[in-house]
Amino acid sequence: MHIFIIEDEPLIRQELQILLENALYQTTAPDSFASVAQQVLSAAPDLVLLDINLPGISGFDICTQVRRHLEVPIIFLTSRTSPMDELNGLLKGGDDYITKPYQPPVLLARIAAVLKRTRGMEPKETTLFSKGDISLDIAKCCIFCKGENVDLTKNEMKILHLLFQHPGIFVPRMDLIEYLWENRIFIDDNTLSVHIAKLREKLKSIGVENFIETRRGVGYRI
Amino acid sequence: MRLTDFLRDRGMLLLLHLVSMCLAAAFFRLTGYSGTNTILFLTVWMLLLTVWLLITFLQRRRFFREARRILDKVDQRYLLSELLPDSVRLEDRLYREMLHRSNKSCIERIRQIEEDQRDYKEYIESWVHEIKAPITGIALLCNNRRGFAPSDTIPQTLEASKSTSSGSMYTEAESSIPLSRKWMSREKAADETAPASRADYLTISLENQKIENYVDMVLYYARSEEVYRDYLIRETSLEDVACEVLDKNHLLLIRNRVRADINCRDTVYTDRKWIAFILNQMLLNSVKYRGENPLLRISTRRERDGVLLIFEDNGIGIRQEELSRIFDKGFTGSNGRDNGRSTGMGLYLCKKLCDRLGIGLSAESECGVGTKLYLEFPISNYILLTNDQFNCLTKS
Repeated sequence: MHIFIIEDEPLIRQELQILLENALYQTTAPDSFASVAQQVLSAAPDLVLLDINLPGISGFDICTQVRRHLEVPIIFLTSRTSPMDELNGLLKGGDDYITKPYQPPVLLARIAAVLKRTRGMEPKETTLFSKGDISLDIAKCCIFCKGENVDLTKNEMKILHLLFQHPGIFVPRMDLIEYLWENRIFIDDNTLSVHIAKLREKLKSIGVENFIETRRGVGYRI
Repeated sequence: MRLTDFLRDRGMLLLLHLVSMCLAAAFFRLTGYSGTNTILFLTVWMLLLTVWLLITFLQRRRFFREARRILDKVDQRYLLSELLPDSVRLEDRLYREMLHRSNKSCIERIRQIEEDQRDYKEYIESWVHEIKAPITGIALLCNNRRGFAPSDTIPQTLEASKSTSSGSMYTEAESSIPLSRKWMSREKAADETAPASRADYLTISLENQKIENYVDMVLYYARSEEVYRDYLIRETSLEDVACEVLDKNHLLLIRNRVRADINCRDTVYTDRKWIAFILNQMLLNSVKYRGENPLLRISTRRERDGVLLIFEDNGIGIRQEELSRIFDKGFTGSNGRDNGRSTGMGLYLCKKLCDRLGIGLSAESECGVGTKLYLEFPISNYILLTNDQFNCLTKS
């Protein structure tokens, strides 16, 4: 998945590249904007991130130029916050309009949303995770072990979901909490401990013990 | 203008006539005219004088009445000199000219000040937009580096969880790409930034967010006078806005061990951005004045003529005697003084914006128990009506 970044601030450009490459996108980010529309056309990316205030040229113009030849999704990233600019951006053919400063997870989610919408791609999300005898079914919201199963609450499922994505690695408590917050579960440190304790009980009820390991000051691991 | 005032004003003229009459009477007497003739002469004189005074009085009264009527009617009263009724009198014309000149300089001065103020406001707005670029840069940088500790492999899972959680579409791709390649760019970044630890970046992120908030306050203060130029009223899900605000502050909230509970089913017609700003201010207050086991509860309730949003915390609360003043500009109260970092602007701005958006804002609080802030979104009959009509239409 190739993303073309048009941003004149070197720091933001560089950090956006790191952020997106960490999210497994390929990126191109030119540092001169004289013939940037041409560059976009020849690179034929899957998505363009476009700043509006660029030296010597406006992002709106670039958008128009690109759109004349290429139906590539365009997301405006800008510090302009007036509704008129937003409207203008959407009228010029932008697919989304995100104002600075943005939350990196939100940015990634919106990029994914635009890509999904414009390419009509349904991500084939894995709904069944397993480690050893134990498997987690996201769709049914329950956990299995050797024919036995137990239902999970939404919070417990999200916790396990993250742990199952990183088997063998200690996931810090802070990361677990952050992950839960991103999924609209707004809990604190103590509540996490309570949830983990309940999870262990549930696992015990289907005959699984010591599945979730704790390391003090580090986090949890399965 | 009353007749007596008018006559008093013409005192010298009357005196002059009186003296002239006396002198004329004396002259007639000395030159041997008969008494009746003198009286007749003086009577005619007085009659003429009276008529003349009356006419002048009526004219003046009409002139000033007209001027006063204009003055009451126009809304920019300093423009009176332009609007005064015509007059043949020299004095009126002189006065009018002087008024005219004085007003002109006054208007020029007002224009000048207005222009200065507008320039200043525009500069502030453009400055805010400029300052947001470095803030974004710092936020991105901290986010990318947060979790990197080169000697430690654990924190990398954070970034992995980030990318998978925020965009589910790369879960597939991720599992198919070898781990070494996955972390390549990150390791490069980690090497560059070895000296700062994860905690440092977290702290910088939090401070950066404070800067962002202060900058936002400036922007919204500058714009609060002219809300109408900057809003986009549309159907807004309060749940989404509340989650967005919590999401934005998740680092701060998690660090302060705040739990939150959101239950906002209702949608309202309002401007999303401004509501987000208002909720953000409330949230920052709640975190600032938190108590034990901080808990935030944001819920909505549908009322007869609107939607009520309740923003509730279990913080230290506000004293009863201070409750009525918390929305005043610059009011910090005992909490603010104890805290030492209050500006007294947050809630003032909330109130101001709510007034402009037609939202009711009120507060309830008990010391040591918590604070409840109520946002009342009115639903106009018009919208209800059109929705009903819409439903009828779609049904038929």
